[in-house]
Amino acid sequence: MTRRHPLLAVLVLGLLALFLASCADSGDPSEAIEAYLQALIEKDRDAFNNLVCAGYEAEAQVEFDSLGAVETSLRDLECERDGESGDYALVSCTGFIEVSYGGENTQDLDLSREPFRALEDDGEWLMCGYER
Amino acid sequence: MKMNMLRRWTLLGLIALLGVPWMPSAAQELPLSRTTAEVDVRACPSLTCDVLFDYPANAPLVVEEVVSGDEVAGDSQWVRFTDSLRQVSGYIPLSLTDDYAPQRWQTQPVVPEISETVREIYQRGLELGNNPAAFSKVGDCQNVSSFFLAQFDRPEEYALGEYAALQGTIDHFAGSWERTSAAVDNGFNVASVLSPLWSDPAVCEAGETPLECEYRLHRPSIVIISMETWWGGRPAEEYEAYLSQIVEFWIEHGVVPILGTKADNLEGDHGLNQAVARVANYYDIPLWNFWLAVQPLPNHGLTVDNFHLTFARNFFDDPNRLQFGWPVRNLTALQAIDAVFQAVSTSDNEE
Repeated sequence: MTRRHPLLAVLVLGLLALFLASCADSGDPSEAIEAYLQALIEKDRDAFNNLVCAGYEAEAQVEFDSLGAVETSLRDLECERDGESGDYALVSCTGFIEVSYGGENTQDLDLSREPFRALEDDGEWLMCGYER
Repeated sequence: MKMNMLRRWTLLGLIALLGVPWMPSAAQELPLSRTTAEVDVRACPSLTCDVLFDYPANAPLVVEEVVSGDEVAGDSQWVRFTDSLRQVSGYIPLSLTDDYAPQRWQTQPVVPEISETVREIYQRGLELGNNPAAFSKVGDCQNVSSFFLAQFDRPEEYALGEYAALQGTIDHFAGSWERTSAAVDNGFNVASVLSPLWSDPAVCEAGETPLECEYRLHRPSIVIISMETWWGGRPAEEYEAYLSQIVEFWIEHGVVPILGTKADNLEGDHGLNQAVARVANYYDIPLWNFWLAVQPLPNHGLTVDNFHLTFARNFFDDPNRLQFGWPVRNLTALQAIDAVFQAVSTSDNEE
């Protein structure tokens, strides 16, 4: 058919390309959440701010500042996509933020308590709060 | 630089007319002097008199009188003042003092005077169902139960001495003193208590901030807030903004916030204490001026790291223990809570 109808082949291929483009995965939201947590514990404000959606900026700043007086590290972090909620992709994580104060480990913050919300913005996934 | 004598006597005269000694429970007059070195405070203006206690350098004084005595560094004048915590008058050589121009917050009293705003907050809280016999603590490492206030629920661990009148307040708030608050932890700062990330999963619901969790669990009528921890390079205005959020939360829930200044000055310019005082004054809520209380103590109540408090047990009938930061912290915090309790109780009785 394509030999006889090259124009048809081009049309089919073009439609196929459009279809694939519209369904293309712009990345994994779980990676965005992991990057957010990494920036959080590294206290890299610039990287952190670039990983947060506009609607969550104010709360994210509180979260960032809340760790200012302690030393932090990540332990056993694993995140995976875990469904959707409206416009958000949900990401569930396991692992902990290890908190040290005065050189001593004082507590571990459990990252499995609440699913994270990720929002796709201009092709990138951003941390946009928690599913509550 | 010494004040000229005319100005000194004019100011002393004003103090005498006002009749307001430097008492913890009275309106605070501006201190006129401060020590320039560590100095022995004596029972009389003579080097042969008993030493009552020591004062560190930079301890503010309200000079009540200048008298003649033994010559020290070429000057025979001595100043008499009253140590508010010990309730003892003593003398130090004028040559070991200097003029002092404090910032306004530095002269606010250790134990606050209570405004009508406080009574309004408290009454609204009762209408909301808050517990008039409960108070909460919000803070960091200097508010943990190991050291702060817990002993008042353990009779063998404290003695009030001349402060026996405070026992009624201790009894009224029984159970709150040693209670572990959901809004106190090592490493907390003013932002931590506003973030659900930090709430204790053992007692708090998912999504609750430590403040929300503490309020839900305890429903206090009073909260004492003391946040010493910030971190270098961050402006005091950010600390102030977060502290304001904390205060607004409690006021919205009908809980009277008592804000405490801190003993240290790690930031170098007293920026955080200024912020604490601004927030207290803006919201017309009690300021517990702990900083002022520790000024007369050795190294102002601080250990060699100039942050942590010196420790002694809370036996207030022993004057030696009142030279340490922790007993003074616990005593003056108790006095601040008592001041609020007495004021709102009086208001209750009048209704």
